[in-house]
Amino acid sequence: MRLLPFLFLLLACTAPSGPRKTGFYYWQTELAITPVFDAYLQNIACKTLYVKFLDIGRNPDSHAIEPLSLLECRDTQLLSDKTIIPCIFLTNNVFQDITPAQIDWLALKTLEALESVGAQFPGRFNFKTPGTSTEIQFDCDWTGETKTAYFAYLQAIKEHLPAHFRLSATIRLHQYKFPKQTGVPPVERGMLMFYNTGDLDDPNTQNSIFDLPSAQKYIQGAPQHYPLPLDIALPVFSWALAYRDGHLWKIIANPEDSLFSDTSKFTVCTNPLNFVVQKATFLRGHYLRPGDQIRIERMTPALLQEAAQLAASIQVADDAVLAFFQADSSVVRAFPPSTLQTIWHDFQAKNR
Amino acid sequence: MARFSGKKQIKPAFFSFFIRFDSIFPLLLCWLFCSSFFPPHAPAPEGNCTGPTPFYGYTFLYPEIVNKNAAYAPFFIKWDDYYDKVFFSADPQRRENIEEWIERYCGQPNPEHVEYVVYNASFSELGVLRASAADPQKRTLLPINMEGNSFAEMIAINSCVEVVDYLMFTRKCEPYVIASGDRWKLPRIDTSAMRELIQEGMGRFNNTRSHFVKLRYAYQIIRLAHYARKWQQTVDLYNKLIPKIDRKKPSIVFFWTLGHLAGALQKLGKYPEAAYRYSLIFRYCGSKRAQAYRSFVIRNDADWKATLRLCQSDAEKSTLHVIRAGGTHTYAVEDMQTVYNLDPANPQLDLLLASDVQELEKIYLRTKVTDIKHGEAIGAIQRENGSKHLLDLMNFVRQVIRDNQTPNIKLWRCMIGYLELLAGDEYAAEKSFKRAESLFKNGDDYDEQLAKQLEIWRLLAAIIRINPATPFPDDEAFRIQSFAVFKENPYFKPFLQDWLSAAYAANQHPGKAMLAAYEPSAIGLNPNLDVLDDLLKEASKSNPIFLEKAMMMDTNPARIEARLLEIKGTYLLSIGQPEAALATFRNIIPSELAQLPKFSPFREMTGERINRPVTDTLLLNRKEIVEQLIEFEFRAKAAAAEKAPIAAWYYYLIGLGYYNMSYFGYEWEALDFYRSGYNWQRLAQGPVFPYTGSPAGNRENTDLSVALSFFEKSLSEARNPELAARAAFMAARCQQKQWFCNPECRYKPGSKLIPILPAESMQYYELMRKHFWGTEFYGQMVKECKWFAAYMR
Repeated sequence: MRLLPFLFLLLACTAPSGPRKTGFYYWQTELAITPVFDAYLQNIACKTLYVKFLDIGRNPDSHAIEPLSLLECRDTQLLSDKTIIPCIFLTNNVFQDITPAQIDWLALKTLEALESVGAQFPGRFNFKTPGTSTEIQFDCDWTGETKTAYFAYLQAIKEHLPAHFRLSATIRLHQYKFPKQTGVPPVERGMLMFYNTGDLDDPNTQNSIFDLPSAQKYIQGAPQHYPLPLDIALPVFSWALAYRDGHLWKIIANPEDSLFSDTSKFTVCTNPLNFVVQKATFLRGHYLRPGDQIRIERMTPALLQEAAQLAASIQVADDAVLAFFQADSSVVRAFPPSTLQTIWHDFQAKNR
Repeated sequence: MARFSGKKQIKPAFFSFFIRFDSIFPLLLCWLFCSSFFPPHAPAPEGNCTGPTPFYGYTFLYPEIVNKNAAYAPFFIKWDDYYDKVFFSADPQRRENIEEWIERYCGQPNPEHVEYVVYNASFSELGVLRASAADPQKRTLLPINMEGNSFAEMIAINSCVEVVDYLMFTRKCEPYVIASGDRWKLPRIDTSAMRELIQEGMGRFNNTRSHFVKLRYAYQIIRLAHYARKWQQTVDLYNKLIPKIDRKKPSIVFFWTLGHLAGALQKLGKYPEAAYRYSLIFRYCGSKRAQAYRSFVIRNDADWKATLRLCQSDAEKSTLHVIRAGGTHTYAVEDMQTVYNLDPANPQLDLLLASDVQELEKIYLRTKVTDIKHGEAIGAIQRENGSKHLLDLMNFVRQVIRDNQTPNIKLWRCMIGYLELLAGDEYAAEKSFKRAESLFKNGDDYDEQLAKQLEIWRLLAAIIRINPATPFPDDEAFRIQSFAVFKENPYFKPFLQDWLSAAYAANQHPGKAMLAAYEPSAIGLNPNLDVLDDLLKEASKSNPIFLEKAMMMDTNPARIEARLLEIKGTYLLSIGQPEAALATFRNIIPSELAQLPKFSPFREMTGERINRPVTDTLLLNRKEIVEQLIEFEFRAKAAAAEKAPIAAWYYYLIGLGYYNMSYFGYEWEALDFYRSGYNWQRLAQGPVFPYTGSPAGNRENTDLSVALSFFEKSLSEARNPELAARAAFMAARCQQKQWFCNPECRYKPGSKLIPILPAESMQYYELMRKHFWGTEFYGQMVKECKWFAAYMR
């Protein structure tokens, strides 16, 4: 009888081995793959999409737990040859001050929402009986305070799903390095998000998306084997961060080079990626005021290569997926397919 | 003689905060002690899925001083649930619509009757109503549920068939335009059914004579097109239908329709056109103001300029500035100035002012204690920028008063006084309050609200004036609490607590500081010696006020002192200092000692229940327990020195005592004043666990290292295999619980699985299996204890 939990762990750690794959995260609220992006995916042999089906958070006024967005699928035409892995993003505060009864309620509502969004993909998703989809991924940057509740939620999800479903969870770098302290989610697989190495809220950070020395610190001293079979996700996104009064105020996704080129409105700082607003201006729907500080953080092919090389030292699963975060039109412009192909080929060869 | 070898003792953040501060409180001590001293077991939160309400900061603005209907209060001002009660929960859209229907019928029908017919009546009931309205003989009866309904009667008497046809049409539209279920499912869009309804509506629109009803048909049709995501069709329908309607009489339905047009324009990429229309809705339509504010999007400067160009007047332009200002407080004065320059009489300036004053309250009415209780301020202006902001705002308010163009000058005159109070100039504040009061007129409702506001601020000034360095600050605190306005405003009590607590902390009184801000029960949750010593010092003073208040409260000061000593002694024992604990307990006077609760920690209980058995022959109070522990240890050591086998028995009893009084034992109450069962789920995060209402959390006695050390001593001294088996068994239980506290442990309480222990935690179970399998105790345990039986297999 005492061997039962060990057996369970053993089974959980020996996921069936298969070929490695590439994947892309699709994190927008409306799903429509353009022919250009489809061709891009073909170029890098990507047939797996991690698609955010829903965002769950707390209403800032009522503090109630509710879906912040549900995926609306605009076009399924270019999706027929792709595996879609539904992802659920949950803000950490969902699991603050939550009771066991609420956890169970949340698990049921999550599945209800998945069912509703999944209905837009006829014949693909059925969360009650076996279907074509078998993996569901959960994305939550849990903390010591919320760990117990989050893990109980995952457990409850598992109990409500048919047995063939496999749960995976995103693992942040700090969770990867300190599994004892942060805990290991009760899922079958982990997706190590190999980015967000710096402090986003700190106006003095250079590049919070990826910075080699910071990333190295997470690798050094991390346990040799993470207790879950790991996939890995590399960043292919950029953003501009606007700070007001020393606090992060807004995030502007994928800023083009020309966005801050008007010198009458923006003054470049010593670092050419940092600006100070000189004249009040509306930018991508945000009203920037004089004195606001802007920092552009960009992933470049070179930086991506650096990240991939460092990530190669991580013990991933034999059938690991190399995923890129995240899919949008700017990726096609910023990252030639050859860059991703090279990274992909290296990834296939290493760590076996 | 600190024996606890396990985790380091945790010094909570709260403790260090009070020690670090250079800063006050006696009689609150007694007053607070009169409420329950020890907390009840916290009830498990159940039910709804809302968490704690976010705390934005204390506000002493009286909501009635701003016009909640004519302005934008809910978007700029936080009054906790005030607007939920008076605004959001009231469904203003429904209310405004009912008002328009009543007005249409010359103010005659009852609002509830209108509501029933317009919103609640079923399609078939409306069918009967239509037959009644269409009956020229007026012989057809009204439906049963509409008997006596003044609105239905007027419709029937006046043969308003068009109205009923319209209402029946709305019932057909509702399934497609009203959100059904909750937000956890995607809405269902049946475009073909919606298209058919649009066509039906168009036919009805053309055949309707009443412009009141025509406008409503247009609204239904345009809404259907919008919900069907037919953006261009929405715009086309608007342009086709709305010009055909005589809109001389203003109607809120026009603004509802405008909202759908704006939504479609935005989807078509026409952002300035959409933004301009949203600003009109924001300005003129209270019931759709919230949606308009949320939907207003300006992408870039070109959009902003284009939107300004669409405005027909400076007043409309000023509305755009008001909306733009809503996103941030950092530049509120600048924004107000811009709005003021365009439209000095803009009524929304009152709201921007109130909103900005609330931001300043977040800075100037917040203490370190507030931060400990509620965390850092949400969205506050940074403290270092606060002074400039306050001065800028004061200058602007003075300018508005000087210019005298605002329609609500009295409010601004009051506000300047409050800003002066926040700036610390009480004298100027009082002068400004008096100047404002001189403008009040007897019997004027609004002036009465302003007078109430001044009363609140004057009481606030009295709190701010309390000086802990003066001899009797507590007297003043008690006097303040007696005012009616203090009881009416929910922020006064916590604010007074925070303010006093911070002042006491700054005067090196951590105990008084704690009691000022928290319930007395917090003292026992994670006891702190500095806090206890400060309170003991206060309790032992012959402070007449303290005693007087104590007697008034019918509380015996000696009992308070005894309780504090009891907490201190219990804490000292729980950290492995029985001698220090005894010295503390000895200070409790005999009459109070007799009142102490009694326990029986030395019984051999092998089950995992944490409830105390009902009866026992040996019941001891905490002082007697400590005496017994010290006595047992003395006898054990003496016997061990003489190689007498009884040493093992005494060590075993000490071990039992410590185990049973731990978090895991049935007599946990002997060493703890509050035990949370929920902490079983997160033992590894202990021994101090977060607890609302206690700045330093709740400490559980989960460390079993002392108990284990005594069982080990017992085992090494034991000559009798039965006693050795008992000691080994209890040592094994200690190791098992230590494993439960290990971060790597995955066992969850309540699980039906037998908890698996790593080899190092199985040491004494292995010993039982190998060496004591033949003892009577072993056989008995195998029968009684499921876990033990499993470990032995």
